[in-house]
Amino acid sequence: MNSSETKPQTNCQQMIEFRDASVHFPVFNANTRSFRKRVIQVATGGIVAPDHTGHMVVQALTNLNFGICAGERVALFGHNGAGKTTLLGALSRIYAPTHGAVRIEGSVASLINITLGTDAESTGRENIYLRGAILGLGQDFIKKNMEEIIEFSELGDFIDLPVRTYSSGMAMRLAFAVSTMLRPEILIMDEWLSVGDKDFQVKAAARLDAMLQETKILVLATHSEDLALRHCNRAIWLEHGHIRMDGAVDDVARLYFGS
Amino acid sequence: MQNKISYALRDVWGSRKFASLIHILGWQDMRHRYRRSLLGPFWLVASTAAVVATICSIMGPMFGVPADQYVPYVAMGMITWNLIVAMMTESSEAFISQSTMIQQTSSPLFTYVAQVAWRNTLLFAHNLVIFPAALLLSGAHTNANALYAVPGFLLVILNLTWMGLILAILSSRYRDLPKTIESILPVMMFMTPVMWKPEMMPLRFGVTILKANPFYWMIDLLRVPMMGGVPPGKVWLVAALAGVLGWGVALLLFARSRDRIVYWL
Repeated sequence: MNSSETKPQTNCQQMIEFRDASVHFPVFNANTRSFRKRVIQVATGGIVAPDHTGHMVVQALTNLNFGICAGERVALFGHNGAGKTTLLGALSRIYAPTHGAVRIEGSVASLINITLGTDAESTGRENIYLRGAILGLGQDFIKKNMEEIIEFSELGDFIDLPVRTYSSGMAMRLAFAVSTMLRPEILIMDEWLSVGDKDFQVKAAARLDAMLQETKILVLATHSEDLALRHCNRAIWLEHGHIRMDGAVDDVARLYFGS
Repeated sequence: MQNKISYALRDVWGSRKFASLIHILGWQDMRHRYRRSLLGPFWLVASTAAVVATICSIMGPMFGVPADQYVPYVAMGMITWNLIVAMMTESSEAFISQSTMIQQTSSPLFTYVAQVAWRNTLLFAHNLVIFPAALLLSGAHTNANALYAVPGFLLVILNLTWMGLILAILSSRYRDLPKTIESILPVMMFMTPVMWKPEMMPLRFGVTILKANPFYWMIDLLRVPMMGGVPPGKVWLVAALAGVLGWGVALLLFARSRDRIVYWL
């Protein structure tokens, strides 16, 4: 697919669709009264405002309208607090929209926090089962791939020692090896995953590419123009929870990084 | 609403795919709690045993109940009561304590309630060794009726999980609830026949109130068969009905709140 085709199309296989979708976080412990009469626009964040019942909410995403088709590789631009992480959460089926509708077809996996749930007291091998279980992989599948994971992560005899004895690089390599076993239809990433020393990075890049080959959609939040241009064909620019611009990655990147 | 109920059901039913996660986390919790200690989970058993022994040596003679009746009665009562307390307090923290996971993965939320139930089933199994010891020491006997405790246990867990699900949901929204539960339960213990028997109650009135206490029949479902009796049909019926109705209410609440929970954490 070339960049001229990245405008929303009608005849593509649309797997993700946001219609007037908003994500508003309630703020329970803020002093509602002192905020009530004001609408504050935080410098680089979402909008803080009372909702119709008078509760304070942070409007992380407001009235998003877009669709993503199979084959699209979408870069997500925006300053800190623009709503990128929240949008990634909504795409990962973690946040259901508070208003509007979101439709997501197909399996979703995120490579955002690949060490999530790692138990420092358990051995590397036990952690492979644990990580696999968190990802929803069957125990049989993990057992079958166990040797391959151990070999790839280059842990050797360390695999049967508690993870707390690992260097942070070793722990990352293990988490990376397990997480990249997944073959989701939609892949969510926050910046590119780069793990380990120089030699390992080459191996890791190849493994990540193999994973990407089989994914239909990639959504990548990034602050790197280079990364976006290399891996994506479309870009969405978020600002204060709204879509500022949506189009071919070259066009959006030129304006976003040029500004 | 119908959509939402089927959505809630899909969450509960979908958590079976995460059985291995429930199992691994349940074990891990137990190992962590007693990590590097010599007795491990048997620390819990030791403390339950100490409580049972103390109650039996002080209250037994006071009530004038023969040891072979009183000791197994208190032992099974305490073991079950511990299960109830742990399920109530830990379920109310089920979502709160796993907020990192919930905010970063889309696994079914019921997984975390099931994790609490599984962990406490394992601890209950550990505690259970006290019962044969109590029989031996007091010279009491039991019989094959003890097998009724198996379906009894399933009914108790069925009921404790719907209560747990409701507590987990409400506690993530109202943070005073876990503290409330924590302070109510010790009081409840005195209102539940753990160390005293209903027939010791001087007033008929008290017995009527007692029947409304769900923990009373939960304990009976396990204690009566373990001591060689058969729980009356009425108790089974009440427990089964409560299980079905309770799950109905829990699912309605879950249907309404499922998508909001992550926002409350």
